[in-house]
Amino acid sequence: MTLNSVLVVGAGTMGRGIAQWFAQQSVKVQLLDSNEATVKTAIDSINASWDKLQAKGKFSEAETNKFKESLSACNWENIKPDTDLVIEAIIENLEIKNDVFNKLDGICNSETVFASNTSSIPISSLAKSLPLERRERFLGLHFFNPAPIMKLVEVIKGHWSKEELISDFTTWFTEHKKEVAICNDSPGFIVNRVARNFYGESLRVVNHYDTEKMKEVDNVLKKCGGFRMGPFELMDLIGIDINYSVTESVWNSFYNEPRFAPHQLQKKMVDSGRLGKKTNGGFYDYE
Amino acid sequence: MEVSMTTNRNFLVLATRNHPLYDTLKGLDVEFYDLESHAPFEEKWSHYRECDLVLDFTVISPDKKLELLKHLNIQFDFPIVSDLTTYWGELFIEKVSGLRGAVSFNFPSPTNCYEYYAIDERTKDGLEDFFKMLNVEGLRVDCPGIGFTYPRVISMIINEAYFALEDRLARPKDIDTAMKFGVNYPLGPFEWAKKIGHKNILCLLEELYKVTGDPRYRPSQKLRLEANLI
Repeated sequence: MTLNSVLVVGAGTMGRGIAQWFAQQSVKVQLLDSNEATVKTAIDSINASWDKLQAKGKFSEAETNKFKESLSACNWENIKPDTDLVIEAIIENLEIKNDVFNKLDGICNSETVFASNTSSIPISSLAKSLPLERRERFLGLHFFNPAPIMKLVEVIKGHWSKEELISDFTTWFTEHKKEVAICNDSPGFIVNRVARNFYGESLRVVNHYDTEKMKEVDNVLKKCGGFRMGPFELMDLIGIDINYSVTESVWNSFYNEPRFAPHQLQKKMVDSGRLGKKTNGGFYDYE
Repeated sequence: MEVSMTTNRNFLVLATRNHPLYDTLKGLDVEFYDLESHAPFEEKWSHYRECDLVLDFTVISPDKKLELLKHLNIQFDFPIVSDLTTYWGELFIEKVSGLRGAVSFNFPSPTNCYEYYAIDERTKDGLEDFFKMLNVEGLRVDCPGIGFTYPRVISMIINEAYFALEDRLARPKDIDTAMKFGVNYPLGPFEWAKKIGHKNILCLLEELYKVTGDPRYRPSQKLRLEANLI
């Protein structure tokens, strides 16, 4: 399989990262967002990141120039219909995503593969309203933040995804130095499901708002478990509200399975507005 | 494990063969008792006049463990420290007055650093010298709880990986890859389970389930299967 061109829909954190990584693989990337100013900001920020990496000696000037030439902004009027792949990385809302895919289905050629970077919506729910031919060329490609650095791509098989499509993308990503984990279409896929108890169990060990105990748990899991960050500092970094919302979503999808149940401390933190680093305070203080 | 063989302290070490450090402990400069070849409740240890710590590394059922610790408590005036990785350590500490500390060596650590609990400084100092002999790092914690923290958290992560396998979410190698490269875990859950031992993980989950009554600790059938295959 050859990938010459990619359309990335959504210029938020994930969309930017995905666009940057594909451009670094000599793939022509178009970046689209409902807000044109966001696309411009995203491209400026990606270009600045390449300049920094060039200054650090990670890329040559020629490489950086080539990457910049590969990346362009687009709007709904100038999408290239013959793009090889579309990756959607917009807000986690089924209705909005479905609208985007239906619109794109009317623009793109029948050969274009559709993919979603969703972390919580079933791939088959996103594909179901599209024609069969497109559904067979629809899969999940779940990147991890920051996408240019994190090696993993979860390649998710939707109900209609052709086996050949999954194996082609697995080969392509592997050839481009990504680590691929193939999985079926199930809530949270692999990482967001299996990692839930890194947080959930740690919350139960602590049980109450107790900074000393949280520090101890973070320290133990880093020093004895070899984890790069402790659960409480990581929740503060991700945003306690975001982490709580993923937990709730997985818990609901598994019909309130106790293994995924949120902890009341998470809810208390969200209700109090202490959401982590972004609010200068979460489980720890940052002021 | 590379160990430093000598110490100025006297340690009496009791272990069963199913403990992951059994061979290492046996090779140390300590009084070593294999509790599978010595009947633990008939053994008289009263000839030990000088001993800094009695260290128990048996991996037996919770009832038997408590019985053993109570027996050691009668036999010795020296502080006792027990490996309580898969037990309700907090309860054992409350019930056995001579039990002055707990360690968590039954769950191998990828960094060779282990949580321990010590009630007093004498026990702490003795344990730190013992860790030096073993060439491991100890991390003192406030309470052993049920299965300390690292064993408890990693058991739940591994259990979920087995549930995912039951649900045919992905192959073990894909799950391992996902956790190592998606969230930088030092090991994939299946690789980790192999190092720790499925039986140990099952024991801890069963203890958590028994103590808390919370169904979140229900072990996966696949994990149970693996634990019973060996």
